[in-house]
Amino acid sequence: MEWLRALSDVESAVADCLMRENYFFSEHFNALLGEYRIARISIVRRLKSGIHNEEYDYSKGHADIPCFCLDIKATHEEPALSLFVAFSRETEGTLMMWIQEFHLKAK
Amino acid sequence: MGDYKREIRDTFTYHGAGFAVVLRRLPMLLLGTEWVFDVKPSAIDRRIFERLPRQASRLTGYQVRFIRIYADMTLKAFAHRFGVSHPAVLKWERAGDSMTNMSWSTEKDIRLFVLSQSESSAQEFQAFYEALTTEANEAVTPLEIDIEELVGVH
Repeated sequence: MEWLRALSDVESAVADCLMRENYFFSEHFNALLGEYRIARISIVRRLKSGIHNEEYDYSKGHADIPCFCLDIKATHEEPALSLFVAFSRETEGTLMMWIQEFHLKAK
Repeated sequence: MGDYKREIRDTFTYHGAGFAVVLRRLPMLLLGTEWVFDVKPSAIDRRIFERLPRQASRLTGYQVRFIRIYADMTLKAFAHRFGVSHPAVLKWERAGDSMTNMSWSTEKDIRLFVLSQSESSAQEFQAFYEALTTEANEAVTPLEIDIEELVGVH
């Protein structure tokens, strides 16, 4: 699929979705924020400041929906995270990012 | 967006601010098998930030942390702004879901600071300042926000 080429540079795709605020987050992600008492804005700001793409895997989630595991570095205030996101394309061609869940990374 | 299934949740507990906020009439969208918010998260956070200074109960530790993070301030910068040490700010934030031990005069200053970050007129600011002569109550109650007016904000 042509649009998947846009994801060959996932860091740019993430940055673009964040900048345009073309992203959604799941109820599960909301529940995890509550469990760990982390503010969404803190994760978004760290995502904007840089990620490391751990994994590139089309097989997760629904067919043909690419999912990524993104590493977010710790700060002196917040723990390091592994964040799971998926991408889709809207009918008008807009790339959307779905933030699905995260795990705290072991120190 | 296209032909997605939508619904309005009468109440939804939002944790995106780092503490529980009860959202009323939250529009949701079904994407695949996942229900997601049909409102920009930044619009929700902005509304929470604007509502916190008007909260009837004293600010909790997590609410102070949200204010600081939303204002994009480090612990040191926040401490400097309110004339305290940064361990004092840490201590406030570590109060978690309980009210902090800061004085009411400091909390008033924080509330006025938040108001100054929003688009309030001088008249609104003055009225708000006068309203703050009455100290907020100490019973911690969840913040509630009616989100319906944000419908269609994508």
